[in-house]
Amino acid sequence: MQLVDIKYSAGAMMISAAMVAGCGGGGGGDSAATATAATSTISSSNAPDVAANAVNASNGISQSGSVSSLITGVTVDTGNAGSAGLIDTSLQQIYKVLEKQAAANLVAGVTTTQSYPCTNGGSISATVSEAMTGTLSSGDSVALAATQCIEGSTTLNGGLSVSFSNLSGTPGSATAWSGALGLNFKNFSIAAGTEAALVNGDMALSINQLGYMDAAASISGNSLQLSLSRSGAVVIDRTLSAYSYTGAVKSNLETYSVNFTMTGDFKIASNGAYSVTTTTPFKRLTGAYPYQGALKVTGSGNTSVTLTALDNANVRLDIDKNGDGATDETVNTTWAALKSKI
Amino acid sequence: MQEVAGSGKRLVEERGWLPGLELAATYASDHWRFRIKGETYRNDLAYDGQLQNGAAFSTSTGTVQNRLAFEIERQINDKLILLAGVELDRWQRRIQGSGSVLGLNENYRSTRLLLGAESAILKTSYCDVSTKALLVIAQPEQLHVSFGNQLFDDAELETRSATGLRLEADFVPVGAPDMVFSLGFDTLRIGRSNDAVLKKNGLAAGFVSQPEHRRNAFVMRMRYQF
Repeated sequence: MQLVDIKYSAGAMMISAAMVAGCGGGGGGDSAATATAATSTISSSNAPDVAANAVNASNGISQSGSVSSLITGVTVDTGNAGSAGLIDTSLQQIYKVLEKQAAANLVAGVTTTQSYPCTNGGSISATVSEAMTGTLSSGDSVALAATQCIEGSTTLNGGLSVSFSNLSGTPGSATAWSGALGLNFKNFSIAAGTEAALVNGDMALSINQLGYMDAAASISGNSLQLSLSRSGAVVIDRTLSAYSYTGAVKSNLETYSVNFTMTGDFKIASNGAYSVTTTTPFKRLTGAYPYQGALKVTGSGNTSVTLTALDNANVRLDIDKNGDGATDETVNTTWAALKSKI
Repeated sequence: MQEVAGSGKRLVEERGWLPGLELAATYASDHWRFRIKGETYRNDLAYDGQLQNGAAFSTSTGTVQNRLAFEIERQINDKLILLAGVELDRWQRRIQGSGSVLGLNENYRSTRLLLGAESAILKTSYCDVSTKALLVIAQPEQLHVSFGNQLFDDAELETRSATGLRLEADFVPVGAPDMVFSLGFDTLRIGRSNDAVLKKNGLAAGFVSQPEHRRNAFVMRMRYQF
């Protein structure tokens, strides 16, 4: 049982470290264009907002915040340094379930679904499928449903299922291991402070770690709906489709690329479909804004805005207002200014 | 017996021989027969299944099946008899734990309506052959579950109504008309129960249910009538 605890805890931290690294350094070099027909025009007036939404969505499927938080999905930005990410929070609950399942060694005749009280209130019910009791292995899966589950300052609700495959090595913060996780979110929400994030959709997560802070990861999925509310009011409701993320970390240098189509309700005049493509992989030191990299957001009529990182504080927006491929207008702004738009 | 998940995946299979004893008393009057019959079978069956988390596990299940039936028969002609009856079925499963694996005890009670017919189909110089077919209409089983090491509080469940079939062929030797040799097949498929609250020390700890299960049996009987 003790060994199981270590395995599961280390596994969570391990994935956390790998994803942090993946978001900052490493060069994926993957800038495969996945241009999709878009339905909204990008102009001088909305280009900064469009770029801000693209960056925010990119952060939603990459990492932001502290080294200890793993985010693939939406980051609930409460302004608190230690805000928990979607995957990290989800996996922590799953590992708790795996550790605590009292019925693991009970024969099946009737079948049981156990519920577990959460640290500060509420509960999680879980169904576990393990080939070998107490040991995570390929083919295992966990399905859980949270009901007002309060862990510290975070409240979880909704359903999450995770399947594990192609596991090689022992998951841990400094061990060499690799594996794939298939996640499915069903009205899964994380709330902290005045903000709440709601997620629906699928996600495939693949990790290959060579050692401590030396890892590569990729994320992909068909559809991921991400909704952010503040004080009960929905401020963002977007869906990412045909999305992908690749990244790597080497020491504290993170490199990543993201590609997706986003639709939904943005904080801009035109709510439509935008295609986001990383044209130059982003690079950044862990915890800071990227100092290198570029992404292009394409709207209707092939209008576009290209965001280029000038350094870890400043960015340049090149706006093509008529879709002829030439820059019509350039706006200089900052990472912080873009973040403040959301 | 098989237990099957909603996806159709087999969860548990128990199989083996269940030797038993049957006693019946019949009162015949004119074209009517009234019968009370008791049966008991018991043995350990091989359990090929899994733990609650899906890990494969094999053991044995101590099994006892008891039945008490009240039957009425009406002879229509020299070849055809109509039957109706009520049967009380009691089924005990003692799934054995092993090492760190905890066992499970289940007690099922159900009431069934029997409707059918018996027909004499063959007379030879050696034996007379008749066949019987019964429709078995079962009320939901009442299931009482006890968990090994009192892992959870005992639970009560109710399964689903079910309809099954019971077929039998009887062979009566010409030289020994008091003996009846029978071959038969029973089948009954019971749907998954609703979820019941699983408790530990009186506090809710989750949910428990009985999966869909299928009870099939090939039967061989030898009866002596006196």
